[in-house]
Amino acid sequence: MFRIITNLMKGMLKSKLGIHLSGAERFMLTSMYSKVDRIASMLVAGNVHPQLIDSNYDFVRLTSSVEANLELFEKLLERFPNFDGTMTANWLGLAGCGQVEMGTTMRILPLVEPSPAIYALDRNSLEELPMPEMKGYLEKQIQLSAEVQDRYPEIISPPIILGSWDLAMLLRGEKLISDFRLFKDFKTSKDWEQKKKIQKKGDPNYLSRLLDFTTEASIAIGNLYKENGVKMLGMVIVNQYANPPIMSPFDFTTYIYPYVERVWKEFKKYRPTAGYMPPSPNDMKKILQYPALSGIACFNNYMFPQNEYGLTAPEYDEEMITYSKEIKVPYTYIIHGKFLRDGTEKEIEAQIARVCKLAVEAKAPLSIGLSAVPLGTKLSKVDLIIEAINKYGVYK
Amino acid sequence: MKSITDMIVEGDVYNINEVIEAALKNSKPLDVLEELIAGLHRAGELYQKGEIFIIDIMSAAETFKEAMKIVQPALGKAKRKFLGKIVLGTVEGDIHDIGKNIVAVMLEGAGFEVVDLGIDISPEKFVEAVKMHKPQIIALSALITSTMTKMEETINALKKAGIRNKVKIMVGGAPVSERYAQSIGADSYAIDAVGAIDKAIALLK
Repeated sequence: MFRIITNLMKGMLKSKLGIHLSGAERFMLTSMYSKVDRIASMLVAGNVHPQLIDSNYDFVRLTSSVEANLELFEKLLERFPNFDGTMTANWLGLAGCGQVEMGTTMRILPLVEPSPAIYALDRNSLEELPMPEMKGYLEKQIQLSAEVQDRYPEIISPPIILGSWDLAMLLRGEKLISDFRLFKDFKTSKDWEQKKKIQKKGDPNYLSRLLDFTTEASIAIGNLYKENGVKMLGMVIVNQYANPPIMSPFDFTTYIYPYVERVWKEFKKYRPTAGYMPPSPNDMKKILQYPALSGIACFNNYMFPQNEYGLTAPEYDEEMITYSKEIKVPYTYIIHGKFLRDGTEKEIEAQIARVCKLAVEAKAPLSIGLSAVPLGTKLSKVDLIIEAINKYGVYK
Repeated sequence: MKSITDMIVEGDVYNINEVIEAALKNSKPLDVLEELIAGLHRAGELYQKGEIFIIDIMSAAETFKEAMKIVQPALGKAKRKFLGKIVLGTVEGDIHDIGKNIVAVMLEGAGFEVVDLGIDISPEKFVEAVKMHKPQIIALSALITSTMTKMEETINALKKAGIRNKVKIMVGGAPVSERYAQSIGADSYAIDAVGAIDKAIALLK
């Protein structure tokens, strides 16, 4: 923590004096919407397929060993030393979120990211599920978070926990969508005959009982992080399964947000953000009115409509950059994995050049990141992103 | 009173049965079917425009399936003329099925006979299914980038079995792109469930 604040102060001074910033300084200043020398670059390590870095590391090994994740992270930093921010140094993915310790079985194959195979609520009733404890994959995930913060103090690596909806999805699976529909239809129906018909299809109150449980579980997981030495500042609460196209922003804010806010309030002193990615700048403006959703983790193009090549709507970027100046939150332009994998070097460079030009002309801090580096991607394209940011992303 | 088409769009699974039963008393089953299909199309269009979401389209699909339980037997001899037959499934190693299920219902609503093989389907199983069902089209789905490679393996397995030229291959799923589809030798790529209908119809020509 002390190191981060010192770096931040040093960076601000260097920026003022026009001295070249280090990557960590640039990344932190950008995150705080401060003046920087060029656009920041960001790599989410855990979304780089491990086989692209070293074929000795697969998901079976990475989900069984904390040390294996740290070794692979070190190799990744050696391979890509020039990203300003490299974070989320773990490849446990969905295995480390706590639901396994509550009864969900994961399918872990060497080359495929862990996915739930049998959901806890397929075998047990809600009343039978235990609160998460410090064991299994969750314990590994927490130990890894603490270890990364300890070994790499200059890297921003806040804990990331699942919020009420995502945890419910990993305990209940696709049936959660039917639960939601019953709950919403029952709540919005004014006709008692209709309510009776809804009740015949299932229990409309099941969803609220489940979300009450997962809200408590999410808080319990956050507390396990805290009690086991993880620094909580800037923690992120994720509900990616509530993002569009699964659910409308209206449904999310009306029915799910209150649960998300309960978790957020519990950790408020650590300045958490509940990550939520709306499908357009207009939705973004509405979403950012909600206190738990107003941070940097929401302000990106991740869920904007994509074309058949994986490119998000370019017309939205200018609006987002203009809006970012208004609210003093940096926009993060995310390059989707399939565009990175399938696009040509020329096409990728053209996109970076386009977004950089918008930010440089507007003098607006901007980060450019990668959503994933999937199997089949030429790593030279990842190098190209850094080169292109250096070429087009310098503020005058 | 809401139309059958509106009930599908709104996913009114609670009342569809009685409305369908009433409609069948006054209308031909094929006409009722047309209204159901129109509802599914409308839901698909709204999804493409970003006006409704996966939760809503799943409700529309569920309501359509519920209605078909009554309409199908009523069709009796007046059997539907299918546009063609499609075998679809999620590729080996991938156990995601929400997107694939929506595509299956949308294709069925569009007039295709659909054979849904399910999830985690090996190249060999796809080959067997093509031999058994003799579809015009085979549709492969993947949600994870690391399982996409199985699409290419499936195409190669069809080639090896000597039946690649007997079937058109369509691919889709979040990590798949137009360019990837071309690179592995698929005949078509669909960006979403509604796109899948247009692409499937085009493949029949």
